[in-house]
Amino acid sequence: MTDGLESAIADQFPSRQIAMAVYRGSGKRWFTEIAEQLDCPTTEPKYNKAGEESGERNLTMDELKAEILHNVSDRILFILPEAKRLAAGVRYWLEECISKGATVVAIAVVNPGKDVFLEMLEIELELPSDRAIRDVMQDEARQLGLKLTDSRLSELQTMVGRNPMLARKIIRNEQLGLNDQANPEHSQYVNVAPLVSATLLSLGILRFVGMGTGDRGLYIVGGIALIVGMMMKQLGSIKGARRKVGQ
Amino acid sequence: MMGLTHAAIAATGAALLMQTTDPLTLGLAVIGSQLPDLDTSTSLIGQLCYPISHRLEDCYPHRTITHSVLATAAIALVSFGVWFFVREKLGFGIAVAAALPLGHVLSTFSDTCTKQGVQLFWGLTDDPVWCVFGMNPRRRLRTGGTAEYWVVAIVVLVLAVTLNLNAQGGLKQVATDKLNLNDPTVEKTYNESAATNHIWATIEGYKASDRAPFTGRLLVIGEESGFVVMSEVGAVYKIGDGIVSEKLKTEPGDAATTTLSAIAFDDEETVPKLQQLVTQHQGSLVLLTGQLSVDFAEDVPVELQPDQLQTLRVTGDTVTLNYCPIEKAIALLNDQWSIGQLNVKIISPSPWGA
Repeated sequence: MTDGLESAIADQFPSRQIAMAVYRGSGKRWFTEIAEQLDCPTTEPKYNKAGEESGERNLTMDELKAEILHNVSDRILFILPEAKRLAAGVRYWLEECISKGATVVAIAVVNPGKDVFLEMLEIELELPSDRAIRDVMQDEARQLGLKLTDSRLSELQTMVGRNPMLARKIIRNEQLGLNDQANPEHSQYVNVAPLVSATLLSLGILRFVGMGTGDRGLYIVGGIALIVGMMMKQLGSIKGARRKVGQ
Repeated sequence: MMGLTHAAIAATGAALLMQTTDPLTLGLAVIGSQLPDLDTSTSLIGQLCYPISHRLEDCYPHRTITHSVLATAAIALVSFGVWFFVREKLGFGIAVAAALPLGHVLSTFSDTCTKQGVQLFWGLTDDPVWCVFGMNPRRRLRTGGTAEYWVVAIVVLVLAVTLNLNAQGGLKQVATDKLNLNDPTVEKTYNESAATNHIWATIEGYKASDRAPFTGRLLVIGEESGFVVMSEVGAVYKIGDGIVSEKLKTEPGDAATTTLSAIAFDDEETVPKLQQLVTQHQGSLVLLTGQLSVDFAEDVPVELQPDQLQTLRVTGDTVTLNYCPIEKAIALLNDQWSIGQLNVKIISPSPWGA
């Protein structure tokens, strides 16, 4: 759901010179994209043995870093989607950019919480609404030519929480017929087993009230609640292998 | 979960928590258990209320708005509101009002045991959170899976046991009676003083048949997994059988002796021998227990008194007496010749005089 987020940020800073690039595994390509957006040279003349110019050669990655850094000022705004992917060398280089006054907006699903990220302010975006998630699911279904009823979409939505990536994935899985045995993958859940156990165990107080007042009803109900609560606590601790076959 | 599972859990939960067998209460709990699935048109209630369910499933994910404690509160508000206005006219107890929200809340909580969980706190928190029972989704139930049918089977079994217990006065009463959980001081008084004194039982409770209130101070004449007591007019009751006691207190009365003897009949007329016993024990309370074979059993008039212990009953040619006052036996066995033996319990003197 970060589609459009980068351009929305850029629109907020019309006076800044903006560089925006997604790291796709190649450092040199990433630096080249940045350099081109900041109007930094990415090549230099090549000379032959006679000292005459014989064409151009691309700058090396270290040369690109140095060239961009040379041009960095407080007017520069870096917008970096998928910032979690940034390699260590890029992150350390960004620290130098920040020290020279550049502003860096890093967008990531989680904060890696190390080196350059520790120096940044963290702003957590609100989760998309249920309606937005439903729209994503419907768009994906439309693109795949899949016809899903509102009822099925409503049921599938329980598996994705408010995660648009999972929303797309669940529709692709639906097309492949993989959802019948699927488990929810989102992390917006809370385990209420301790709450239920604690409630039942707290009813154990009735046992002592019953003992004190001579009320056998409270004594029996409290005793049963206590035992059921303890049973549930024990049953909840049953654990099996967490790894899948072959792991 | 399936509607069937929700219905079984709600009926069982209502029967357990409210200690009732009332069909209206259990029925309302079952209806309440179906309300959460109003948000999908594939459920039975969703099909019955299609416009509502279609609108809900179009706007919300399944197991959110209708599966929340907020929805339970709304249902409770409506249920108790309606009950408040009709309770006197229709004579409904508060259990009837509580059944609908109870069924709903049991249903929503049981859905936490499914793989997806439910948004119990929908509308109460800014961030949506799915409440699940157990962290590992692989350990939770899949709707319509084999495990769910096992849950249905176990819950229905618990329901049958619960209804059976409730019909006998509830878990508390059955546990008290069957497990002999009576107040130890009650037993102690009887054990210590029954041979030397009259033992009086002060009872507050109700009749098992129609749950009419039953209170009184009765003479304890025996103990058979529950006290056998007798009123001044000769009615014999068994506590925990025909009478469900809420409170029971025993205390020793005037000095009295209890003796046991036996009397045998060898194809001889019954009444003269019994009258001889009466003459021997003037002013005593004489109770007969045992079996006699009589010639004309069909002539023995048998009166069935609801809630009372059947002190004399006829099966074929056999007359069975159980703590039967001797005066009653004389009146009913007139002109009968009999074979058999009776145990005679004599409490002397009778607390009510001759």
